[in-house]
Amino acid sequence: MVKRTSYIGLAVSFVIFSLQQVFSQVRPTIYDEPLSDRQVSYAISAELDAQARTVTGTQRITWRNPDRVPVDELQFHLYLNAFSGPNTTFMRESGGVHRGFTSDDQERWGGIEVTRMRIIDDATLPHGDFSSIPLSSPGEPGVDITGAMEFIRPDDGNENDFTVMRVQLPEPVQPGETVALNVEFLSRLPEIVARTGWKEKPDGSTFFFVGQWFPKLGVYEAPGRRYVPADAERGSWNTHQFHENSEFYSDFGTYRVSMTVPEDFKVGATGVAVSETVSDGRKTTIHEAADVHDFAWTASAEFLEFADSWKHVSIKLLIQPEHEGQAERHFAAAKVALEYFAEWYGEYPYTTLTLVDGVGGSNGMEYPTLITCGTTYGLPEWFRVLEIVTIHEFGHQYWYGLLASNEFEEAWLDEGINSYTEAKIMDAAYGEGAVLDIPGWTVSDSELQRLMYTKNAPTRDRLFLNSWEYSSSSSYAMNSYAKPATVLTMLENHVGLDTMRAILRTYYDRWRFRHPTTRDFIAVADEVANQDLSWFFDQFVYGSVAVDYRVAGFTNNIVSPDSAETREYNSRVVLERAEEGVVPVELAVRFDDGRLEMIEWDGRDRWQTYHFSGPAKVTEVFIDPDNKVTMDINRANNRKTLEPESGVERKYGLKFIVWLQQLFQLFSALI
Amino acid sequence: MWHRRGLVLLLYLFGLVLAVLVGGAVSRLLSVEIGPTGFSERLTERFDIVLWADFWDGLAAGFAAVARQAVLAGVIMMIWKVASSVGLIHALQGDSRLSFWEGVSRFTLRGISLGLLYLLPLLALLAVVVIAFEAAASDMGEVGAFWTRFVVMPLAVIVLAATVDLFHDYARMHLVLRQTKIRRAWLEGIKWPFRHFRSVFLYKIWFWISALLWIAVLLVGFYMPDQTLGAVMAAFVIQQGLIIARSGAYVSWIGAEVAFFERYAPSVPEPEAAEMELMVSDDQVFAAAGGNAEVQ
Repeated sequence: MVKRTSYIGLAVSFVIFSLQQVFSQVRPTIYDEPLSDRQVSYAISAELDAQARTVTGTQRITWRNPDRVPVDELQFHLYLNAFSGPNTTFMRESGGVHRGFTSDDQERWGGIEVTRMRIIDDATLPHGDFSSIPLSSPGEPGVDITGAMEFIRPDDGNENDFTVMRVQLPEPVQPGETVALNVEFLSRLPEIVARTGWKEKPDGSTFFFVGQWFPKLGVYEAPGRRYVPADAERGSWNTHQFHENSEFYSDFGTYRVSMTVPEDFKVGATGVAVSETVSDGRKTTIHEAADVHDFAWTASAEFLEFADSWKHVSIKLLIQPEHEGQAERHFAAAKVALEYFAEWYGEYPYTTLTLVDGVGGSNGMEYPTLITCGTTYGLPEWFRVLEIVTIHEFGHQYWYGLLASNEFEEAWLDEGINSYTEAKIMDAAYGEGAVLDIPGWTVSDSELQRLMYTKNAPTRDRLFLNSWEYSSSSSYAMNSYAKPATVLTMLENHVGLDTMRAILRTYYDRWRFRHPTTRDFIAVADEVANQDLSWFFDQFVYGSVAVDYRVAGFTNNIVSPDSAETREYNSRVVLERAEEGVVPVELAVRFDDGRLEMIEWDGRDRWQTYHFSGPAKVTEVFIDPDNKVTMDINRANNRKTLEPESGVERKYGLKFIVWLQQLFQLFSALI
Repeated sequence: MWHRRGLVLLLYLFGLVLAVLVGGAVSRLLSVEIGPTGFSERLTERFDIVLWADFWDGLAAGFAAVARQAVLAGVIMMIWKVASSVGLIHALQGDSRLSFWEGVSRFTLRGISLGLLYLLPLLALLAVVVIAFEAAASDMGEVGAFWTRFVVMPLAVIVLAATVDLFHDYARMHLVLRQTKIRRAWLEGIKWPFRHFRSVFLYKIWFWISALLWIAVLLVGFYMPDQTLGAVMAAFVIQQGLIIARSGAYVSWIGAEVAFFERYAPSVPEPEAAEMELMVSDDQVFAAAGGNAEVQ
């Protein structure tokens, strides 16, 4: 009986497990119901010509009017056109160099051409059951509106920029109604620039990363959405040109994409693979994705493919053969990220995660359920750049993927929060040596972020700024990554770790699958912390002040010098606020009888003096002893002692002597 | 080595004093900049990159001065290397106990000239090797580039430098022991390993002993705990022990090569020397040199 029950139980478990496996493999999220408003849907047939390095595509797009008034135009991103010539806005701003990678050869330009656009009679498509949407074909009947397409330049008026297109519709789309289009396009992929295109490896094989590759609708912001007042007469399109430092902003929806590539290519893509067929030397893979706002894919004959899983997530790794030995490091880092994000901030709702080890400048990029990580051959275990990039790019699944802020206008909401969480997870998982772990020389991720902020023009530019308005690319990077990470670490130290986690979890719960703003984040922070934090955000998000508190000095005057037993001191401690930033700080004052006095200073005045009287003199003054004010750009001046301390000079003096002896030995060997 | 412990100590102390002079400046700099702040203990306990960066503003100028001193000390060290080498060759020759300092005073200037004759081509060759390997690496795949840059090229640099060093050792011996003119000594130095291939093995033995001692010093620095001053001091003492051993190895190295040279080098005109070579087998000499029998 016991045995029989066990067998039945085993059989039932096996069936359930098998169904779960099958089910989880074919559905893109762990939920049956839509998670987002699915404003758009895309069904795309794409064919890669590996020789010509082009993608020919036909796509069926639906868009639902979210406004309460009719809308008579659509706007599209055509971001591959950013790489179509030397005078596009992207090329002008970047000088043809993006994060060290150049694209200045005429033969290597890319671009996207919309060859035909028609309105089709398909507007009643269900938004939920997207897998029933047929893939588009060029011959579908419809009203041709190709002639109504025109390029617009909303940001800079650059006549040579063709990255945003508007289409005047013959009939407006009524509120709540859906319009369907059939769009034929040809994408010429550039040699990889800004993480998209092709790259020929030294062995002659070609790697493709196909991002920003299809005509994609901009975001129509209806009244009440983001900064459009709820009582506005009507909403408007928010569609920006592609800039050197801008990345994503688009609506949630569904994707069903068929990718046809040479038979020997391996494909990785957003979403979940639902079918794969081979015919005439070509392989066609169909992927479906739901509640995402972009779709990217990669293809190469060289990839090695590995698979692993974490709870409900199937993890696929496409890695370059020369990096095979680091496959496990990729999986380990991805699982660390999945584990910590789920525990601290919220669940990962998708069933897949694809890690891509790209080539050239394709690495370090995020797309829904697909990230490019990247490593180098021989990367030592003690230098965790692979882990940093993997955890960072995975973090975007939350702060970019699920909370789809407008990265053109508020990049810090994605990159900054993500850099903060990356540092938290790296340091929690790998400790003091999270970045560099050489004996005696350890560097943590939060230290690295702080260093990059404090030593790189900390008062230049602010976090809340359009991405193309920063004084330089490095200023954009500093204000979007390291500085916000440091700002949020200081906020955490101010409100407490638990409250900070609650802020981010609430922000995630409340705004996932929507388009939050800085204002929304601050509102959540105020609410969860139960305090008005405008003093904080005004200075460090909307403003660009730096923080520096210093001990100006202290004195001990003897007031009753009779004997050591009865001696009394009047001690005076002077503190200074050396920069504009104001934050409350703690002050530790130590006396020669061992007493330690802790004082709270609101940090507002430029100078602050404290007086102490008693039998003990002040021996040490220490501002912010717990290192909470992470934005303090010079901690070296935070502390003073009556008697100089020794130790460090002996340690490094001795080390230096040995280093010199070694160097002398090395150089004298030359002669 | 033990019989020449005075020379070993001298070589060690010269390097130490020079390093202490420069290292002492670092110590003073840190003491002035960090001592009064109270962060000394924190920076002793662990490497805090942010705090170091904050202190760097005050330390940068001082470290620039130290770097200049270190370069100057490096030049002095190179001159000392030449002087001590010719001194050692002079002192270790034959069975007689000749003066180290006499060798230094008589041969240092010529030794430097000879050294420059090797150093300048060596630097040019090293530059060519590095440029050639870099150019090759840039056309290779990632794996090829990695092995080229981090394994093959450093090995090539080491082999090249060691080969020139080997030439140089025997050129110096021609200069000191046979009073050969500089250019002639330079040429003889290059010829030597080709004529007496066993000298390469002898060189290799001492090269590896010295290299391992050099690496051991590094490893002690890396892996011994250094969070407390006691631990730092312990590591320093062990490192100094290894460096003394390295000085000892160097004296023995030169001694062995001198013995080898004296067995093989013609002390009479070339044709007669060739006949002498036929009379002494390589094995006999190598055993004698490696066994240190002739090194006093």
